[in-house]
Amino acid sequence: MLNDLNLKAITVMISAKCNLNCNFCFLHKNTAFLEYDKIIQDAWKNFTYIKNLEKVLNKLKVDTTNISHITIWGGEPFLDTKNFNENIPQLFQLFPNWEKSWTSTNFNINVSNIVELLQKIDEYTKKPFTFRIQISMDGPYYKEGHNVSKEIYKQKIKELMDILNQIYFKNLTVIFNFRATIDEETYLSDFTDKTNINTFFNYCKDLQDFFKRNIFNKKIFLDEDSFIPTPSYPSYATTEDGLTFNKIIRSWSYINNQKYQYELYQALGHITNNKYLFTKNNECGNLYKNLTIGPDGGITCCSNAFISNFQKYENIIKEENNLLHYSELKQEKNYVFNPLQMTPREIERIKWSVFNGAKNNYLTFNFLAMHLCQELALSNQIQSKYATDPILLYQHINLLDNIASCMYYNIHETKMPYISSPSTFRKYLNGITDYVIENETKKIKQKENM
Amino acid sequence: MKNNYIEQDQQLFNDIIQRNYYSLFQKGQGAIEFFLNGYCRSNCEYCYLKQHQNELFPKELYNKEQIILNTELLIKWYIDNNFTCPINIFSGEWLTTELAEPILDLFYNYFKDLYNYQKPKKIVAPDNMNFINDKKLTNKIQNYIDKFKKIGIQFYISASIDGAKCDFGRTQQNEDFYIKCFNFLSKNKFLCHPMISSNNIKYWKENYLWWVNNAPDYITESLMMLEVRDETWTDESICDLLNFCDFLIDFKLEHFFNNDLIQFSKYIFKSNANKILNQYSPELLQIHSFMNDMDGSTCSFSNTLFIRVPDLTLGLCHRLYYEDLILGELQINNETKEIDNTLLMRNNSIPLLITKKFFKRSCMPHCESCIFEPICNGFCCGNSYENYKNILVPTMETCQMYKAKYTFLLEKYNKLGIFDLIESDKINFLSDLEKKYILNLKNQLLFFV
Repeated sequence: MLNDLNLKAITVMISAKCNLNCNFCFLHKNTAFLEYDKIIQDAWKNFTYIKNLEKVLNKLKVDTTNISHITIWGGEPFLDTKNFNENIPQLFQLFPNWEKSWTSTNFNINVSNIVELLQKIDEYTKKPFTFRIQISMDGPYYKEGHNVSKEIYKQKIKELMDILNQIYFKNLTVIFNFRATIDEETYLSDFTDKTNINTFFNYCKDLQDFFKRNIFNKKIFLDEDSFIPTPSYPSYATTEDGLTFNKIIRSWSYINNQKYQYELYQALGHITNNKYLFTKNNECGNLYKNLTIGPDGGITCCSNAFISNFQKYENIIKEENNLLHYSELKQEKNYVFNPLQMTPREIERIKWSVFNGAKNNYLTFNFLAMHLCQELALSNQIQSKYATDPILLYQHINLLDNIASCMYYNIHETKMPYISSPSTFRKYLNGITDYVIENETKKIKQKENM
Repeated sequence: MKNNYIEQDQQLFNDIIQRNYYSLFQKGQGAIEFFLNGYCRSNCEYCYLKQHQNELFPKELYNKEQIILNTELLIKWYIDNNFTCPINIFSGEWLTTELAEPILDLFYNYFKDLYNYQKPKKIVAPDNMNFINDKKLTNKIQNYIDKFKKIGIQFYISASIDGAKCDFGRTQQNEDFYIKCFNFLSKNKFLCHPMISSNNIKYWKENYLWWVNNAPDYITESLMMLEVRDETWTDESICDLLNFCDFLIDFKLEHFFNNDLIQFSKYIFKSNANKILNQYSPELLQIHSFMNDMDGSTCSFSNTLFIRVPDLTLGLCHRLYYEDLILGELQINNETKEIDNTLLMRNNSIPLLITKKFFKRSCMPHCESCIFEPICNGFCCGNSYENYKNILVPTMETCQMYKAKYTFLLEKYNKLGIFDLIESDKINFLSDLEKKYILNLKNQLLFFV
């Protein structure tokens, strides 16, 4: 009974390559990605991907009728969707209760790829279906490798909306949102200047307003009105950086907007007082919540590590003598396995160690984080009040469990899925969590007064 | 920015060690372990050192001069920092090697002229007792024991022997070996720590009777029989373990407690009914989690600083010296040629250090929701890492073994009437919380059995 997986979401790869080269990307790109992309495309083309999905889930004793969410991941997912689209009818057969999907795109793509995929889903879904598309952008900082200007975004928005506005979706609802990631170092240096914050906000507001102005389809929505960028992971923050982040976050508060708090929390990487807030969409690729299954049936610890079971990728990193990435890959590979190549006993052990180990990580995270943060406070690297007030510390750490318990970055930084490095705590526990709680308290009081 | 955080991490690492280890050592608490070498002539099947020697103690580290030099530096470091905690000397086998005399001489010479409050009370060395067949060497070791005693330090050897019926890996096994062992151990009142493994459990009933008939009483009455916590336990070997527990309970109740259930209950719950019956034994039901000073690990993981002597690296414990898990290293000052006060962190190891120091099983995956957690002996982080590359998830087979054992024990003790005694308040040494827990556990489990 302990080993039963109550899985509701999976992630599939529809591409491994990307046409951009953002300097903070979680993917360490090399030529192996092109080869892996070919493997993915062939697997969809020959329908072996979907067969392997079925076999894997069968071996893991997952009831496919429970799967309601499929994350579509890459690289850049919309570079080439033709082969994936051909599998959509079979995906609905295998997952009859599939009703949600999520993906992230750099939007510097042929927009008709988005349209075709959406149309195919609408054609085959028998019930209401929500497809969320996150448009990943940097704002005015396209010099960091993102290289997509506002003009290109506007052009793509116009192209896309011109097509979508002509389509009647019978069951499909599409929700777009924008999300920007900024390199942590840039975030700290540039946003201490409120002028830059202003520029960023206006850039994003302009884009979003443009987007909204071009929506005429009742089934298309843009989520959120305001926009705050997220600092990239992993974090290398010192105490001083944490204090700077605190000032920067408070500087955004001039935006007098009801949805500001939600934006703030999302921008900070899901800092929240409700740990379920961001799991309802199953965006996080943590394997207990959302299993990433590759074209050969291989499973990785999360969607960000999708290529870590590809031998050529490892070989190239070794050839490059890239010690940092090799050490990261070694950690990722501890969570890589292929049920199709395992005995039932081996699968039972994997379920025990990896799945159930990941399942209970909130308690372990809170426990270890409490002690790490007390030590940080005693060393004056975070606010000293945390050293003497464990209840307060616990309250603040609870806000961080969605960010700081990210299995992917934790295994890179600390070799354990259950706890983050000290930098993450320095970043957030030098005032930002105070700010979140102040705002939450204000909201509660306002509600009481109403 | 990307490098500045490393400085803060290094500072934090040193602060944590100072606050949580050095300060403890200065009060005589905790322990420091010197990992001397990985060499051993025996071939015990369950031994992790045999299976992972190359990773835990690579051959190139074995350099006699370096080990002796570094041991001297470590002793000076110990004294300069006013430590007085026990020192453990860990190895495969070192007392039969060329390391023994120089190392023991160093300890003796550095400590002999200090005041008692400046010395460790104990230097502990678990050993496979292979030295016993060499009379000259045995006399030398006895001589060291006596010398240390005179200067107020107990040089304590804990015998790693499983017993004549279970010592399959020993290179020198004969009756004479055990006679000499027991003579030596009796003279010094040292104890033994035989292991119960899935491989030898079916011989343990015979083996236990061998201990009873051959070992001195003080050893048999407090024989520490610890289950090897690894992945080799099968349904068959678990059944053998339950049969052994059945036998052991009946035997001890009759021979050590004269069928006095109340005294026996005190032993199984508190292990201190008879002051010498205080080591771990498989039939015990000690409720660890309610004891404030217990972290739920039944080893010295949390409060011991483990140092691999040839390269002065700090490890999580002696079976976790894998390269990725090295916490840091002691540094030698270029000018003074002594160990520096500043340690060098490796591998972004602060979270690992935190996990080690503050380990609490009741907050770890699987264990946190397990009804047996308060009485469980717990898992071995080393074996977990070897199996899953995750030090915090218990090995599945170990878990199965303990769950089966504790279920059996509850059933057995229920049949003996011990829970009736608890319910009728005839047993008064359990706190209300402990009583509530154990009765609740019994009721839950035996409802299904």
